[in-house]
Amino acid sequence: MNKLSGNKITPNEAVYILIGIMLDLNIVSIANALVPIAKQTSWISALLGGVYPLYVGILAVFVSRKYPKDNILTLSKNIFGNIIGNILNFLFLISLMIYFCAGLSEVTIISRTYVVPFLSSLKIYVSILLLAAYTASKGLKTVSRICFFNFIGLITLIIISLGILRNGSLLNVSPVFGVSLKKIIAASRDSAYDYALMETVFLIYPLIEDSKKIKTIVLKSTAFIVIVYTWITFISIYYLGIDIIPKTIWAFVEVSRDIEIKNITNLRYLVLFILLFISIKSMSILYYLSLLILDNIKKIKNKPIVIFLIGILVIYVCKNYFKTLHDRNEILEYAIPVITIYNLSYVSVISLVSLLKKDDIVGKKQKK
Amino acid sequence: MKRYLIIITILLTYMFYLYGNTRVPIEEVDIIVGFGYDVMDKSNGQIQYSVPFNSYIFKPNEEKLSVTKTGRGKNLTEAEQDRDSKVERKYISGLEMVYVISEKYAKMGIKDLIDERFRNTEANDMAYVVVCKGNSEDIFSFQELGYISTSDYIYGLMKNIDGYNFFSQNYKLIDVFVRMDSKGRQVLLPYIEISKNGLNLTGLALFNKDKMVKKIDIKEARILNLLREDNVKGVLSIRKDNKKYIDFYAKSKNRKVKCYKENGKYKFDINLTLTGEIISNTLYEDILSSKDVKEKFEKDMKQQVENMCNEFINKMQYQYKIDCLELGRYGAAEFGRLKNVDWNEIVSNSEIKVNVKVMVESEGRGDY
Repeated sequence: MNKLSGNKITPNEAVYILIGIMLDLNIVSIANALVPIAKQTSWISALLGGVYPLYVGILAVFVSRKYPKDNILTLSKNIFGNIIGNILNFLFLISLMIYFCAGLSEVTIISRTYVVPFLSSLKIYVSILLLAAYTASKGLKTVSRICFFNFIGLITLIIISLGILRNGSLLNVSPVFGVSLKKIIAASRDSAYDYALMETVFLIYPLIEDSKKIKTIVLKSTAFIVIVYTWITFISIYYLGIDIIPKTIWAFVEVSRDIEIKNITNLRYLVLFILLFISIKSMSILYYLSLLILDNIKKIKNKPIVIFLIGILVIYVCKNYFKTLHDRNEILEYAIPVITIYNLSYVSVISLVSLLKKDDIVGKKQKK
Repeated sequence: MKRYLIIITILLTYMFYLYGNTRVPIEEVDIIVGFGYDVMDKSNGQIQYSVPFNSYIFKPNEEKLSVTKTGRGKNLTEAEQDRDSKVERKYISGLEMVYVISEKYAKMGIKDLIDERFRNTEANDMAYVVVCKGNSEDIFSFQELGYISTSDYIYGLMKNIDGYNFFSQNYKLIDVFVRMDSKGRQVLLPYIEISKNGLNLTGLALFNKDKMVKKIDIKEARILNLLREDNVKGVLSIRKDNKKYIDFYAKSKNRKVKCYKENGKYKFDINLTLTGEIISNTLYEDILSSKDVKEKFEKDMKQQVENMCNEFINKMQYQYKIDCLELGRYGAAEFGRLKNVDWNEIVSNSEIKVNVKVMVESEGRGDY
């Protein structure tokens, strides 16, 4: 293995990170979120949902061209001044933290259901956060390496799911245009949670070696994620049918059950192993990014203590507000629209202002 | 020093994680291989549930035995509680091979049992589900020579079901999950009973949603399977008398169903292609050398199969009145699945046409 050196990441690593940040455990439940509205055409909704990361990514391309060295946190401080800028950045951090807690609680619920029912949630929180904190403390380069392995795991997952093609039927997916366009678009709005956090590209672009390649990075990662989500939604409907998916909680885990591969007695455990890995990776990235934002708001002197405090905070929130599936879904139902609107407007306003008033900001910076 | 510290930390963590879990050596564990579900009438007119299980017991002298334990109660869970009080050793489920449901239980509806299995993450979705005559407890206590348990025997029976009678392999628990509540689909399960010559398959149990409606014998089951399943194998024969007959080992391929509407009435076309070889022939002379004879046989066979199919479809439409061919699925795929329609009724009142194509691919090594 190559030694990890330097702070900057290569364009390929950036692609893996962006895929990693958008793709969380929600791949197993994306069909459950979309099918009640868009029925058998849900996969088209999943496809259309890709507009959201694409829009954010394109904004990032323009902004990174003008200010290749400043991330969105610095830009917001330069535009709105130190206090308001910091408040906006802090709100952005809170949105990340909500995704953090939601992801951690989901992986805990899944593993307590399928793998380790005898462990208490607290033990699972601690073990996952320990791994994530260790990875995050090692820097972006290590995180990107984890994302690469996660990418390989994802490809394995998709290859495994190809095996179900023999057992399902196209009849479950047809008629393809049996649902009105209005419902398809309504469902694609619901996929916002799955496509969220593309905004973080604004945080990492100054750390990419070749910042001119940001366009390909954005396009590659968005295309990949759209293909994965569309495929997973499609294959879940293809195998289970739209009447059965609402009965499950994590449709894709059930899909992987009927595949027979020689020498593997229970494929579900392999799938769950990959899923756990995917989740730990998401936790690591979010941990790293929250450190990054905190560092920007106020210079961190003692890193271990801050990491520890973040961990304690996340465990506290998860234990009290995200303990069960019902709590989690109830909070997310209210939080996701607010977060999505806030994040979108935060990113759009800062990009637009900085693009239009370019000389001002540079001027301000030089004065400092 | 650092290395020892790490090892000690890992050991302590491991102990912390397993604290509070009692573990039993594998020799002291029973493995459940089959679950049974019965209902009985009590003298006071109430119904009693009875849930036997069939499990392996490992003796110290490497001897393997199987026992059946039963619990009784007012509902499924109460019966399970009662059963648990009779079990003296720890047991594990998840390796079960069969679920045996008694005919009476099936006629009362299997929704409760399917829901219980669907929730249980340890349930083996790949186990076969069969319906039996009488009580499943009697089936489990019936010892077939050379087998440790009856469950093994039933499992073998189901595994090799697809050789000669056009049966498919879709009788697993996961197939019941996928079919039971889907629009336009029906559950179909093998029916076994104890006869003079042992335990054997005697037909198919037809279900309407979660309730068993009717048992059909193996002759009818053959035609039903031929009409319903794709890629199945079986023997079709034309008999003049005991000495003059021809047997054709057919594989059904490319089964196609077309659904269309004419004058507001649904119409279904089932196209079957049967290819295969002649396995015995004392009826047609010169079938090997003369092309005309071969074509005559193909025509006769086509006629016979179509007659059989039409006879069955008539019976299905006027007597059973359920859509056991899953034609509603094709209708739903063609005309949309949002409407609240009863496909059993539609299929019973629509016109169903069967087109069969017979092709002899080989005649074996000669015509004696």
